[in-house]
Amino acid sequence: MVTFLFSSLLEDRYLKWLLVLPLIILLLVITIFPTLYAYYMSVHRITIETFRSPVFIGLKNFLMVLLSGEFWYSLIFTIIFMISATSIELALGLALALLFRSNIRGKSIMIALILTPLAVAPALYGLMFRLMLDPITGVIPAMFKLIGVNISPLSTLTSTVISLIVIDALQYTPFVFLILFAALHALPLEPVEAALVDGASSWQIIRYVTLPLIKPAVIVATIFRFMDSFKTFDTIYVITGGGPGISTSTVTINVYKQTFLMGNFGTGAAATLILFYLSMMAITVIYKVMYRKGESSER
Amino acid sequence: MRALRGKFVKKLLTYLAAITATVIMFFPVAYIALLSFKPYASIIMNPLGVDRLTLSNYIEVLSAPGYSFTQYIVNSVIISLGSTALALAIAFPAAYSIQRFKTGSTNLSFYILSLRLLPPIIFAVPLYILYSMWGLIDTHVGLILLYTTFNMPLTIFVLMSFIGELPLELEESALVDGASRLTVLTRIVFPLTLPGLVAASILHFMACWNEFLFALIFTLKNAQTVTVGASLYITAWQIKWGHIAAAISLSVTPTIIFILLVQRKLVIGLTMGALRG
Repeated sequence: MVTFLFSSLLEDRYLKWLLVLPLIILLLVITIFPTLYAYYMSVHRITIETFRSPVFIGLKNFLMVLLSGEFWYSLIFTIIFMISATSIELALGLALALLFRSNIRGKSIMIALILTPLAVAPALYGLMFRLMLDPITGVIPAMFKLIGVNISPLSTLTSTVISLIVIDALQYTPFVFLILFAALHALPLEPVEAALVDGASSWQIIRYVTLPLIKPAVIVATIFRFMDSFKTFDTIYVITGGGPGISTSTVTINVYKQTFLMGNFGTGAAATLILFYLSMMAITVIYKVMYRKGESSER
Repeated sequence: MRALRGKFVKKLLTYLAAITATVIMFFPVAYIALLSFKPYASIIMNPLGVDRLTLSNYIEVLSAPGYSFTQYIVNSVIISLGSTALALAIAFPAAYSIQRFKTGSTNLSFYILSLRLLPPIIFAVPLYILYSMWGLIDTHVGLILLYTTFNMPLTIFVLMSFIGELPLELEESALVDGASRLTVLTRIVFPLTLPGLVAASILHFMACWNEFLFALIFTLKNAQTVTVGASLYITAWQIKWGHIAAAISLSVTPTIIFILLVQRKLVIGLTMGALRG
């Protein structure tokens, strides 16, 4: 009987569930249960001292988040940051990918060096720039001084925000570059050759032949940069700590400070649930664009 | 003649642009590496130039009393390796099942993709209270479980794309010959997926090594990793630029070596299998 049970467990229709069982247990414990627990937390007053005896306060936490200027400010700041950084990265990444399609010597070494920022932890990349931007010992202000410009990039809000966007662009342009470069590499030669025979200029070829062909890769790169820059925390946190005040706080920095520095776990949970629904709306659309479309075009 | 000159100018501009881009992108890493070998006085007096190089920054970072950077490195190694091993053990059978049998249909793969795209702070808030109750705050196991879960999407999608490339006939003929599905999985699919497992482990390891938010929230001292350790340095030792540079250089060396090894596979990992490398 036992052997019979065991052998029928090894039939494909049961085995396939047995194989994903560890994964499902992990997801249940570390993601699904905490999400459900966040609902419970969001309607209670919970601090780190009192988490064993929470007080029910209804929807007050949600009101606290939705009525707080800080939450909305950080959301708008994040969206501005997301759009500016992603656009720069797409433009530069595409330019680099097109540039490196031409035959140049030492190409593979140059590409390897260009990819190094992707290997560096965002937190450490931020630290590097904190050293390089230091007004006294930093190499970047020193180089500006050399050409006669006295500038300290982290001294005003505008220049700080611009610096943060440039730093993000420096770290993730290689990401867009790599994806588009691979897509260009995989392109068939015929369409370009046909356009050349027809007398098209190299700009026309890029605009009307190459770009439409790598459109799926451009979309995928955009989606990932959008979603990942929405999560930005590490780099900005180590450079400005979200300040001065809350002026450079992304949503994650805002929720982090509310929850872990000020200790309002209930309010933090309410904020994360709002974020959860906002993100899920975007992800549902993304899933359709990325995978459904891919399947239908393969047929 | 003119056409020839035009071609030469174009070639020259291409080289110039490519070299400029390379120099700009590589500059931060190269500059910090240089800084880590400069003595204190030279950093303060001469930010642009190099007069003398020294190893003292490294020696002091690794042996400073009361500030154990070596402990951070050890923690990062334990946590990243532990998570990589656990993730592969869970991801390999799951990836096979999802790829071959479409287990969980679109629901499961949608959930896995969401996990890759959702801001991790969403889970960090409730998990902090739960971890406090479960006694997992500031433990290696606690971070290993978090890293395994939240880097799982990357690992599964990389493995799925490798398993998807294997010819079905091999498995089918073994099944016809009477081999069980488990034998097929361990004797045929596993060895053939080895390159994929290597790529997936490197990508997973890098993701763990570079993580900051969870490490900042869920550790206090015992399980602190290099990213958090290095960022503490900047507030604790505000003026010791050379030390910070040495700490950063030590922390980024393994991942820079790894990225050179997985360059080609990187695209699959970065795009969750939506695009092939």
